Amino acid sequence: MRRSWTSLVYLYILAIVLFILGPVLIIIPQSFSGGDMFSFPPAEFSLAQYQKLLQDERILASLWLSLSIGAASTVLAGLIGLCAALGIVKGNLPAKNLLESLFLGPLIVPLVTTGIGFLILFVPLGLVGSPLGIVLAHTVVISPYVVRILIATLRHFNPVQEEAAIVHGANSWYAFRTVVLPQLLPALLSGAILAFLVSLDEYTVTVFLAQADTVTIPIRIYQYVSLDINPVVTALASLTVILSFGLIVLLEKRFKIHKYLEM
Amino acid sequence: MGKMMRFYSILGWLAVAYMAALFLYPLLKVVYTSVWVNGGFTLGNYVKIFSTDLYSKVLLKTLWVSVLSTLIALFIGYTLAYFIATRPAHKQGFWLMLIISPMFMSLTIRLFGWMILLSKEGPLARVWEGAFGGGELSLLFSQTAVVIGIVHFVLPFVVLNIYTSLNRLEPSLLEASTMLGASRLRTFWQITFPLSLPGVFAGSSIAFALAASTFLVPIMVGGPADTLLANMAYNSIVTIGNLGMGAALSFVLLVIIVAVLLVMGRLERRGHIAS
Repeated sequence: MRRSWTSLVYLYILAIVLFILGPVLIIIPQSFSGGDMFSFPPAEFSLAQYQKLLQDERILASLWLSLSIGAASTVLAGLIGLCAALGIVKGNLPAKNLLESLFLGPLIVPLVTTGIGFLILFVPLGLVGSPLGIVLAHTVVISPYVVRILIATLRHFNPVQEEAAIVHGANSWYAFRTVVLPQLLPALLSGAILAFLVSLDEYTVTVFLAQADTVTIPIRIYQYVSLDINPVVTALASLTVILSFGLIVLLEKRFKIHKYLEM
Repeated sequence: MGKMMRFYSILGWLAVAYMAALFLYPLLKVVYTSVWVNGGFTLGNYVKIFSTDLYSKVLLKTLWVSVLSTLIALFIGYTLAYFIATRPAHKQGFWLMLIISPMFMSLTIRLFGWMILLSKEGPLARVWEGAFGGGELSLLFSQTAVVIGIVHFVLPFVVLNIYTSLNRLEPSLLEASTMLGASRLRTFWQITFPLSLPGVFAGSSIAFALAASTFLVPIMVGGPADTLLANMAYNSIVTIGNLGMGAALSFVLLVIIVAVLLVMGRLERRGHIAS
């Protein structure tokens, strides 16, 4: 009785794990099929899609655009997040709870609402369709990931060291740079990696701001999967899946990343 | 310490200014655009959303799909989190990593995977055909596919939240309960479950908020009739060119989500106090 109950539990867990990983893993064999995107199992084995991927200028341009936007907005969001977290935890701002909601708000406000807001704001400024507009929008969407982890880290921080630095004659900037910042770096780095990944994958806000020559990679993938079906996307998707798994193992081993993902 | 504090306050104000200009101000613009039509104030857009079938049906469908996906994700998420929390401590990291790994993969790519799995010539349809013959199974481009996609998307968040609250549980409480003669089932229902409720409420808030505001899931795995509120807001603006209506729809969505989060937050806090 006990035995069969345990095996039933494991069967259930196996089904759930298949549900979670199935859609991700199915992409890998599909990328080696000759070009039939949706038929499984693939009829033949070929590397054709990988060769085409390297020659697909639209995908490569989107990839480059997304990486640049991701890098720029992550740096900016890192700075904003750092300022926000320091102000909230260590500054004397009024109505801190309210301001914290302002910084974390983009996680709660639906992305469509944020996207429409940016559209309305950017049309008169001529920023629709420009990479700068997308970068600014992404900073707002991704900065909460940095803020959240930095606030949590700063709250466990021992202020005595800073006081010691000041007492020994350091100015504020020097004390911050040599005492506070180095200890914040691991958290800042994990937050930034998370923020970068969110920027790379951002669809809903971006789709309001992107035009023909600012098609970011998720929008391109959507186009290749749903509009003008192009099987080269299987190669891109499967490379992404493999890279992501590598990244996850690394992040979990080094930073215990799962601790930072709860909202 | 005043010097340091002033320095941090200045940094904080810079961030506040940035978010006020690029987050708060655009949001106010959305509200303004939704009620200021042709140079005059009107609630016409909102009246239309609640009184016209076209809009109210999508509103109800969005609520139904979100609640259904949240409940399914809660059930699967709870069992999974409980399973992980009861593994030996050194194995829990591995299980968590396995479960949350899709969070690091692009949602477009995950949904593409579901398109392959659910398509007419995909593996699920093949298995179905092999097992039951005849009767074609075609799940792709249906509301079922949308719910599957949403559950898949929100599940890791739910698992993480419930796992955290299960993990905080004092093991001595469970020992005491079993030592006093309670069965495992009774221990679960009278001790473990009530104490894990904050995680359940936190998980369902996130699940509902993500589900209700989903944009990508319906356009990738749903059919033309499965558009939800977020898609309707987009279509109103981009396809029809009615900016005011799009703004109003997206603001209704925002209000629904904030209302649900407030209620859930209150329940969660009550749970914390109880434990």
